[in-house]
Amino acid sequence: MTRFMNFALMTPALLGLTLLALRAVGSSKAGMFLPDRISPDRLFWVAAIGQLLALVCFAILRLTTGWRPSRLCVWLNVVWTLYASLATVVGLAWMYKSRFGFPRVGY
Amino acid sequence: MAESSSETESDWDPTLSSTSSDNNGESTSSSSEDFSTSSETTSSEDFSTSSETSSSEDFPSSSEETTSESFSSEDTTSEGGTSSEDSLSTESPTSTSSEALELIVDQEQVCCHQWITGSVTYTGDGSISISPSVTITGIIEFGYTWKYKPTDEDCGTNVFFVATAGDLEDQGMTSVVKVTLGPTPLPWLIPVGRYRTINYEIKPSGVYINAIIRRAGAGDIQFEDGSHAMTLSGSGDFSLFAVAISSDVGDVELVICSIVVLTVAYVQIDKVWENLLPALPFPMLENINFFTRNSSAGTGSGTGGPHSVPYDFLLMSQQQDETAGVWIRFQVKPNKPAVRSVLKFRYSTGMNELLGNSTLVDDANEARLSATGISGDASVVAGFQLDPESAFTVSDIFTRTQFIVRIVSKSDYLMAIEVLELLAFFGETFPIARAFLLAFLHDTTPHIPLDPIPPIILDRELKHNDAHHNVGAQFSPETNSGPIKEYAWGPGGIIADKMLQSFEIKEHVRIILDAHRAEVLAYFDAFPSEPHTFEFESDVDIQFAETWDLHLAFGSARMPVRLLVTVRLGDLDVTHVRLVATVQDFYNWRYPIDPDGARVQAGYGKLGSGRVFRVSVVLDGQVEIQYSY
Repeated sequence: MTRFMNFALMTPALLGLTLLALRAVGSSKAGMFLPDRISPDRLFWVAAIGQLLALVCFAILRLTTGWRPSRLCVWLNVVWTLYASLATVVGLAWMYKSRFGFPRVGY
Repeated sequence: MAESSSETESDWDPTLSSTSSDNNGESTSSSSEDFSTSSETTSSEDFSTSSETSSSEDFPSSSEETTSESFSSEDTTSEGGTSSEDSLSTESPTSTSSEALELIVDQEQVCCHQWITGSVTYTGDGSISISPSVTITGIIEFGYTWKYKPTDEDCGTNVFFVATAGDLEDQGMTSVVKVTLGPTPLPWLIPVGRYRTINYEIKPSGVYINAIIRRAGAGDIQFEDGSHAMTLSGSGDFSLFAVAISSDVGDVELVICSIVVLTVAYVQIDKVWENLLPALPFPMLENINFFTRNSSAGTGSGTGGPHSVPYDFLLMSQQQDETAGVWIRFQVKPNKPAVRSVLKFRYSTGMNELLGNSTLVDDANEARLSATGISGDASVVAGFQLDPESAFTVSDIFTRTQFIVRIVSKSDYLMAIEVLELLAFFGETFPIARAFLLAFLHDTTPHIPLDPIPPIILDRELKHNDAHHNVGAQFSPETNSGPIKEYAWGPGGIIADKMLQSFEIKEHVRIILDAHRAEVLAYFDAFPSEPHTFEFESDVDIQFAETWDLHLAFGSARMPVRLLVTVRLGDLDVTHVRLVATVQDFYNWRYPIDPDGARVQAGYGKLGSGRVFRVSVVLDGQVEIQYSY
């Protein structure tokens, strides 16, 4: 049960960090194995929203059973939570900034 | 006054003596080459007595004057060869019991170093002496004519002439006017439409003189009341105003004792363009990043063109050495070396700070302006720096451009790169925009993670006005264009999929379907039993406003669209829409909206990366849309 909980709570973070790793290595071949219409931003939102759910689940488990996740689970979640939060904030700021001009490119 | 004789040897009696005195009237020996030999005067009653000792060789054959203080029948001797006291025997014209002495000074006032002339007559026996020493210029009945050149000490004073003969004395006076004009150095050039204030001091006091402006050509200068003459006295100042009475200008003379030549000048900036090749000593690439004299705020002429860019500035960046240079084409009148030598150009910032140094191209109306450390907005000004010792100041400015140059500093460029790198690092939610941004920042091929289709890379040229600001490529003087890349994606990739699914594309499809409603209904009226696939074509200017990734990557784009629309029988529902289009776009930036991107673009080729590129995406796929005729 503990191993399953740890893995479940790590899933969004693993997805997000895998996405980052793919981005870092610049792989385009991975896209060939993905279903149609799965783009990086959609994967990001899946990982980010999944992380939010994972944090809620963790809080419930912690409060109701006193369960403690593994150290790996904690670190993965901390790293991904921080990155996803920053990426969301920066992305929204980028969009907000651009929206209050008119679209940048013409022709 | 008796008839004066001319100053020629034949008329001149060489026995005329002279003594000299200083201005105080003290008799001293005068130095005279004319009378450098010792001469014994003869007693004679006749003016035309001959000298016993002096020969005609003592007096040059040319018409030279004799300095004389005394005009005497008494003998005088001169010593040493540097002074002479010559005597001239005189004879009373008539035997009369009453003696008369008359000194006449012709001028009431003269300017410094102008000759004063006069005459003296004495009807009696004996000699006439005049103080200060004068030069005899001719013999007249009972006397002689004379002239006197004021010395430096005389300038600005009243010179009193005292003639004495026997017991008689007569006086005359002339004011030797000294005019001092300021400031120093005296302005010799007045730009058209500008005033120059000149202060003056006239000595001796109480003297009035005329200042006259003499036009000699197309230029004109007036006093502040519009006149060309005014009377001056004492001290004060007056203003001169330069006007152009035709398309040309030239020199004007201000006559105020001396003649001051004033030049009416004019300069006009016709064109300013970025110095894209600062290493070369001659202007090039003048038709890339430029503005012209007729460019005005809002029109963007010069950087506008097809886009009608509503910018009133020219975007450019510093070089690696933090200098920013432009070329200037101008007209200067009169176009002569003296005027060109004082013609200067500067950048003028908002605080009226003048920066830079200009160098004129020999034999051409072009100049290079360069400044180190300048950034931000600046207009280009031109003017005449009359005082080479002082700096070019705001008061020297004659004209300034309405258009401005917006200079991106090296530090601003580097900071903008850091900001955009940060956006790209966290731009996980916008993979296409992020890929384009990184390609722009690193001058690499855009790579979209997980995209199975890499772009095809094509070589293209960026020409004037292809981009919003004419920066972002290294332009070649041979082709007047800069090499850029085009990244072309075929159908089926992430970009094409995202576009086909985008709200904006669906909206445009809807608009096209609406536009052909009558055509579709007419078809099914005519052929009610057959389903049909229609083909519609349209040019679409699309703005990706809702799909954030596309908004940041493309913004707006133009594409010719071909729609294959299948409509089924009965309810006339659209069952299938196939869209075929090619989206084309220049990836470049607008400074008012995205200044950081525009700063990086401006620095390309000089400070680092930031090259504009072209993007094309082929769309060929189904658009999922609910629509019914």
